[in-house]
Amino acid sequence: MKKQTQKHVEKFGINEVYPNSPLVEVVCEIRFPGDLAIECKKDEFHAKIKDGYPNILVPSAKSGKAMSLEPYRFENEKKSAGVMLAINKFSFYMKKYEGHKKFIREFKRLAKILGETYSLTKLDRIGWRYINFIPFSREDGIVPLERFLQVAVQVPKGISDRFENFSIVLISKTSDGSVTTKIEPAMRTDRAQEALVLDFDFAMTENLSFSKLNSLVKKAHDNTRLLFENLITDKYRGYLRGEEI
Amino acid sequence: MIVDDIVQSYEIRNLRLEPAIGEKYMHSDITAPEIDVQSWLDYSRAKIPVWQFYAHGKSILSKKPVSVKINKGEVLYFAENETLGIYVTGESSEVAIKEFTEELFHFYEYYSNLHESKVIGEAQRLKLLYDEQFEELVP
Repeated sequence: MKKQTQKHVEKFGINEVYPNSPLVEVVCEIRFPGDLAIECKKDEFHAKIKDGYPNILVPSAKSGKAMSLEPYRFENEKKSAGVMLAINKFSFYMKKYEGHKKFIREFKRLAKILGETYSLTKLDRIGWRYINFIPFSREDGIVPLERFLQVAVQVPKGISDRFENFSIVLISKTSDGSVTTKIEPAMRTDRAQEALVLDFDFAMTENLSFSKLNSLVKKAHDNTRLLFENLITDKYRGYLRGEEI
Repeated sequence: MIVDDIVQSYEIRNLRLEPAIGEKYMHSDITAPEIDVQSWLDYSRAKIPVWQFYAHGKSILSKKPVSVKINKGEVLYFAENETLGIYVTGESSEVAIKEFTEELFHFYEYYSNLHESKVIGEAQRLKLLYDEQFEELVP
């Protein structure tokens, strides 16, 4: 498989929020050595964030999985954002993404409360994940991947590159961390519509500490945003900006 | 491609995907694996961007993507674009998009053949839009 890369030209602003954004969920997660204090004193943390996230969602028991590793969710009234907390991880997610500044501001606020409540110092991992659903209409029965994404698949003679369906998962190392990318079409259960799932996340596992969280979050975001911008075509970017009929 | 064929392509894809790949993906170090992406499958965005339309062995290319709004009514699906003045229905979203394409082709040919001196008002706006934004591709 060959990945096309764009020339190094700034085609977007890091603060730009697209009116036709395909994002359905954004998550930032930190992992740390398991702390029993979190297991025993979730109420102390929730008490401090209850005003914004009053709804408690308890994890259901899963066969073969330790309950302590399954996170509790604390969600806002609109169910548009929330926190996930388990013995060794914390994450903040937003379903109605209003830009990275607002997201990071809230993540930092909640992480600060977490750090103060449980005296966390060491981090094992930080990850930033974008989940996008890009609705499409088939062109002549084929998924028009090239309209949206700069992912070119070189196939040998005899194999057509006109794809009726596919699933691509890439797990790759970068200089700063690792990137997991999943691209595949999906169909609604009522068969009403199809969409390209573009689900990718950037993670770092080296030289992390809770005290460096602010800079780490920014780095995770910037890397993931750049990845997204390099993945999409210029024409699709135009559509995201509202250039449409 | 009819909906049953599309559904079958998903079934074949999922059968051919090695279970190990799926498990490795889920249990590899992905951020927040608890997020239920499957639940978003039923998330519906109303607008679908379409650049190229196919019908009757021809195709029409748009300079900017046409946003086709798909809505489901009680019985029928609606496909529409206010700027182009196209409002159609279909028994499925696929049929609705097919009807939309037919309408677009019809209006493209209609306005292409209409001299600019013959149109005023809304018709003038539409003629300008079809002339400037769309082109028929030679097969």
